[in-house]
Amino acid sequence: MAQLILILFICIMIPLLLLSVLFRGHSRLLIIFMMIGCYACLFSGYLCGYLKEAFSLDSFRMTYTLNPLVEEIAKALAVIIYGRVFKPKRKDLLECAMIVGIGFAILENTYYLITNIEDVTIMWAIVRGVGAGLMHGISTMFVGWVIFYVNIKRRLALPGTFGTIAVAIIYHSIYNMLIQSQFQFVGIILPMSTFIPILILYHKVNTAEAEKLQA
Amino acid sequence: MDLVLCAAAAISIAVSVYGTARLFKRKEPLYFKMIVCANWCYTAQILYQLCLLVCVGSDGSYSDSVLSGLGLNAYAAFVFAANYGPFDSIVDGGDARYKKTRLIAFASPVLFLALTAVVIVLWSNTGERFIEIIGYMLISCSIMPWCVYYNFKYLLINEDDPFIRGVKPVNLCSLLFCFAALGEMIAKVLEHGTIADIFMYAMILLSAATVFAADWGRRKWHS
Repeated sequence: MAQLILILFICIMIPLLLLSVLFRGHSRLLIIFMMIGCYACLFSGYLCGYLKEAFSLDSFRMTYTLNPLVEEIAKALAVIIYGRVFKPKRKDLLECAMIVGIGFAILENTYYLITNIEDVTIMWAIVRGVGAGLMHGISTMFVGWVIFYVNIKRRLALPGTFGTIAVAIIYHSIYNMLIQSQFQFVGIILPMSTFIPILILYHKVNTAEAEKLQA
Repeated sequence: MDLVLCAAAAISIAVSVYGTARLFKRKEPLYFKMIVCANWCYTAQILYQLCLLVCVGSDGSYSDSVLSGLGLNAYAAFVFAANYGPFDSIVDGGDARYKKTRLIAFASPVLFLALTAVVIVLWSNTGERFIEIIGYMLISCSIMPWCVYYNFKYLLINEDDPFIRGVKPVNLCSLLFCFAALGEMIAKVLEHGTIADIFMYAMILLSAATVFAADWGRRKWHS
């Protein structure tokens, strides 16, 4: 059972790996970042398991204390390295950041599905998909967005990187607390309500950039 | 308690939205942007504490709030970065006449770290594990001492320059905020829940006041 996440990881990773050989350019980059997201999930799964034992915390307490901390750092690392070393365009960085979160959510959702196979319903799938899936994507995309600005304004390097990860961790932790409480509906709405303004802003910025290029 | 914290969180969000709206409305100096970001980080922290109280029913003890130091640290990081670097060279500029000011300013991080040592001693007497306080300890030993150093230094510099006068209220609010954070820690370790809550509300008001002070300072620079 402990190896279940590893088995799932291999099942998802091998087709993605083959796909990455087939694709070229930007599509390949996205597949690679999805694989990185899955790997971040595997890594944090093992690390959280170890920390849970080490600090003798129960599963519920782990979900709003150490789990968000480990998961967000694991996801953000890939985005920070890519953003700081390769200095990509904003659009590329944001897409890659979002896909890391989505890759993470795919493996995590699959793991929860298999481990709770008798209790899962269509509603559960919608809640996990819209809630956790989107939440992981948004928190990593937020990190990507800030890292892009850090590349422009170097003075923001320390507070920008640290602050963005801190906010992402807190956002994740708030979601985890809400989704397990009597305010579950707020937890479901939270990722959606943050995704819509981000989407509007993203399109606005992209349109402005395209207009600037045309001019 | 729930209602008061809800109201405090609402104030914090409203001030952050006000600051962000200003950023979208017109081009603002990076200093102001960073102060708004700092306030957002602390707002996230307050929302986290509110969720801990409402969803988990936590009493705000350290073991429940391992992540509590994050928002505070991020606040300090933004204020520190706003004051440090090019901004510092404008205000201070390594001038020899500020040598004494710089030395006196070191009193604030020293006092801060001394109070942190008091927290550690008090904590060790409670018999609890150190890991439970690590989130808060990160505040005291990483960015905050540097943040209070710059805050205090800018308060000490006595120049009739609109630029320097403009940043003084921000730094006063931030300095009080950092020491209030430490006060909250001490009150929590001593299990004075009410005093800890008072410190927390003071921090919410001070964090909000930082944004208004930065806005005032920005207008001072332009005038």
